[in-house]
Amino acid sequence: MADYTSNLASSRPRPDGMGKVTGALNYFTDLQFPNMLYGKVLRSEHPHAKIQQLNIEKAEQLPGVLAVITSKDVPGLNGFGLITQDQPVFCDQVVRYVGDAVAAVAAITPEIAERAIKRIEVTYEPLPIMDDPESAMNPDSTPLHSGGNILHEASYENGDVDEGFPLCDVIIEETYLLPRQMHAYMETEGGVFVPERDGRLSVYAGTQHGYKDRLQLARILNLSEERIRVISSPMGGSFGGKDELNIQPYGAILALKTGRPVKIHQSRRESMISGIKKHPMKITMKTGAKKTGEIVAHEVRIIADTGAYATLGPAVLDFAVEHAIGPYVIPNVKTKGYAVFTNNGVAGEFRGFGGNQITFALEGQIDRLADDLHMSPLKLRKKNLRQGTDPGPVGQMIAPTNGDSLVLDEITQSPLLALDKRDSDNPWKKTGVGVALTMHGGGLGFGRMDPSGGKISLNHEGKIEIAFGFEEVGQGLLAVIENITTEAIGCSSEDLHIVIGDTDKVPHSGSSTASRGTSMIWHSLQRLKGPFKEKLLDTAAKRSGYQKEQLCVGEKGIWLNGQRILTFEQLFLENEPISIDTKFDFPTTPNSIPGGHFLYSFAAVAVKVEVDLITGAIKVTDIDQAVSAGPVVNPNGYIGQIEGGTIMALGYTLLEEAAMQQSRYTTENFDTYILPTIQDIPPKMNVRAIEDLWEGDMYGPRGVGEIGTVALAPAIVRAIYDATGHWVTKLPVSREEILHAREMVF
Amino acid sequence: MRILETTVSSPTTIDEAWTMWKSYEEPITFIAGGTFLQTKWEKGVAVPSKMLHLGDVLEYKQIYMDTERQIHIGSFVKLAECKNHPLIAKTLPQLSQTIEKIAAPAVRNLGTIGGNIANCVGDTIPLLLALDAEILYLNKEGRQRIDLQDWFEITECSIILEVIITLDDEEKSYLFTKKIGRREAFSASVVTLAGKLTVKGNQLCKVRIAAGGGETQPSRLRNVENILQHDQIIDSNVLKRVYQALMTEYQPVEDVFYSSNYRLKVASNLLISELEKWRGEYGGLYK
Repeated sequence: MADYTSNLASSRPRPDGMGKVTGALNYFTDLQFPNMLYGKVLRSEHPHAKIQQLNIEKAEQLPGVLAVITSKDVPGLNGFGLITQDQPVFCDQVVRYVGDAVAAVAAITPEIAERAIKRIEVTYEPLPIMDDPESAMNPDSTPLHSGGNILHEASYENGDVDEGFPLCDVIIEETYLLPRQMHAYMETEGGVFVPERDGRLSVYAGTQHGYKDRLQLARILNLSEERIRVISSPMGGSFGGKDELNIQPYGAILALKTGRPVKIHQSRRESMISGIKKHPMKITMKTGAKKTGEIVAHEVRIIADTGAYATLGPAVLDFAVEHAIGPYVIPNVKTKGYAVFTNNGVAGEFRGFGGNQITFALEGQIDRLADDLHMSPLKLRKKNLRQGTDPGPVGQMIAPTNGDSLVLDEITQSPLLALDKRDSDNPWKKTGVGVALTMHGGGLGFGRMDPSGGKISLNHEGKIEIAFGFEEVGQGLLAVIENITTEAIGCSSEDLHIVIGDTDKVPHSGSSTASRGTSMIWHSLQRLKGPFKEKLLDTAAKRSGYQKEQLCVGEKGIWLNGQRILTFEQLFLENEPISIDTKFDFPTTPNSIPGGHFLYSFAAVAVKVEVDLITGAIKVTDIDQAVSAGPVVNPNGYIGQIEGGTIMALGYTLLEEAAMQQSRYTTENFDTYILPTIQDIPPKMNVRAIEDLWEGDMYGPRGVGEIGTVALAPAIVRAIYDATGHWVTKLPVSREEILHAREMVF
Repeated sequence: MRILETTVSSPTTIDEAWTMWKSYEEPITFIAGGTFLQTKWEKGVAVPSKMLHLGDVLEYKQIYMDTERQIHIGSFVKLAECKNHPLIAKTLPQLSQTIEKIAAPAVRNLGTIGGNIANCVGDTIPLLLALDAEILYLNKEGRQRIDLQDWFEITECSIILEVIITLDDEEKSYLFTKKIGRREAFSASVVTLAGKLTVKGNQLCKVRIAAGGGETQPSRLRNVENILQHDQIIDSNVLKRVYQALMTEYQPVEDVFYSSNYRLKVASNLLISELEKWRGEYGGLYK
């Protein structure tokens, strides 16, 4: 049997590892300041209602309460949103979801703040609830926003599906339903807002993009951006959930109004109700192939429930439309997608960014086609795979790559796929295996401002200071910066001083999102290393008298023929600063396709599942994966991202759903929103990294933050079919459905 | 900084607790580990203004076997202590297994066996019912001893002091307990089923089956027990009748996550699979 084990060696512990696993690290929500107040936000009782009256008097009268604020207290724009600022800081007329903010208080204790919130009197007139995107799309439906309920439409067409389908021998038509997943970061949204003596405001709150928070807060507070300092790393997880503003506007306004530091830290329940989620989608696909296995036509309709406000809903839909044919070549394609406003919370950025939903449907189609064609799923995939220099999935020019073919070949080696499934002697258990493939675009895509950059300098302590505007959200950013910088410069990790997460100190690098961090750090260093080393060596030559060409940068200083002749500290001179910065854009496709990507990563996953016929529960017992994302920067971080992403996908497939009834959450805490624990995950997962890139590829390592989350769900569903003969179309997989499908007959 | 707005009395002896309790005119909330109440408060149930805390009571914190092979588990024994106790591990490993499936280690370090029973939906209850456990409790009149199943029928307030389990003599018995949660660990129960089949000579002399799960108060399934005991030989016909009896006798409470129909199916599948296992192990004992 083929051998399939992880090919990633263990690397040194990440710089922030110990503090995080021991709990010694202080997060911003752990901070205490003298005279600090506690803020709390009053959120709507109704998913959709008119605010008739709002009376804060009784709350203001409560001893210990220092401020009660409403829409009247917003100094600038009463709205936020990464692209469109359509979400009110405070609602004053209408509430559109159960998390909409109506008022906030600051008090001397959290208990008094809590009591004050209860004393705010709001009279609502409930309005009809839009809890179904398809009804909301109906032109007769009550519009939630002035532009109607369709936030965004996106489409792609190539060839003619109406001509393609008649040529097909097999046509599969299926509708797939994807759930609302919660990011479930360990640290709920929170932070401390501190008015400084010089009139500036310091914001200590985790985010994926400090500068963007600063911009959004400046608009709301009617302050110039320079008067706000955002300190934003580290934080206890984000997964896309904290790229958008959350509690920052309330903390900032309360701090400015009271002149005192204000802490807000949401409870899990508050986080659940107010926080953004992954888009629930209903995806209908019709896919046809010839007897030979050649896929001829593919028609896709996507309805995304984007909830009450825009945030990144349009971009997520664009991403899903782009990835609707994945790595396959299909001559006739018609994809149409809608992001629709409803009163169901707010959906937005989430690790995978629409890729999880569309890939579940696409790979489901491929598997069903394979089954109907009596062809091996691997063979069918291989047959329809794009070639290295083929265009991308929406016909755009992309960096040449055969990553899809490489991961498919690699996963073919997985012994799981050669499994004899009659190996179980327990009549109550059935086993099955499945495989799936995906590709995932990195960066924001065509037409979206996607600048990045970094800065490197020698500081007065003789440390090489490397600064980025990226955030440590738990992904292992510091280890990536450390590895790339030490390799590029030739210094040791002890020589480095890494600066991130502070708008007073870091350059603009763009958001820590879209699997772009690792890639952009590598690109920055490619640009920074030459000029920086040049400057170091110039200075060293001047200082030492040796020929510059004889010198090299090494550990702890400048070296000549195996001997260190100067330390970095000795190189530093106050009046001759050595500092280089760089600014550039994420590489993008030249074709004008909104959100179209240029760089892709690839993954193939093989799984083995055990179906319990007593309960209908699915246990994933083995996961093998192959990932193609360029050179590995930090092996531990790579494994962490792939395995972590996979487990997030396991939860998505089998357990997690932020369920709603009548636009209200039925899962309000972790006792009902079920995340996988260590007992739900396979004891061993194998990750094989394929580091080869297309010949001449100049784009270096791609990020792996998302790719691990995409292909697992369809692989599991295929394995369930293998075990039971039942095709699942709705996630998370319902145990009740499995039992129903396999009804025991006595 | 949290400000507790509840008056808590913490007696150190059970007599002191009893005296305090009798002095209250209105009903009072008893608390030991507090883990069950915490889940209620987290869901928005108001924290009572007065509580009688039993966690500091020094008595009823031990596990021992008396001369009549009866195991006494003090009500205030922590779930984790009970699980790890050598006597339990040796004589009732199924109880250890059941406790291991309750919540998470931190909860088991706080929660008590008495509390798990007193909350009326605890995961240990089906197994204790299958074991014919008895309860020693305190009401305003004094100490009383009663079958666990009958204790649930009592409407007056009481403090559980001990759970008492009588070990079998030389009989061959098959004891099983299964908890199905929403995931592998740290989950509330969807279905919990326990049973005990005792063979004496060539006869299936005693059958106990009990089921609970979620908000369903666990109870014995007497019709199921009667069919099994009456028919002795468990063939597919009997299984069919067992299945039908279970469908009428077990009435699981549903929630938005699992229907009662699903819970019924799971309970019957569990029972059938356990009976199959039992038949495999002990079926040859009698014909």
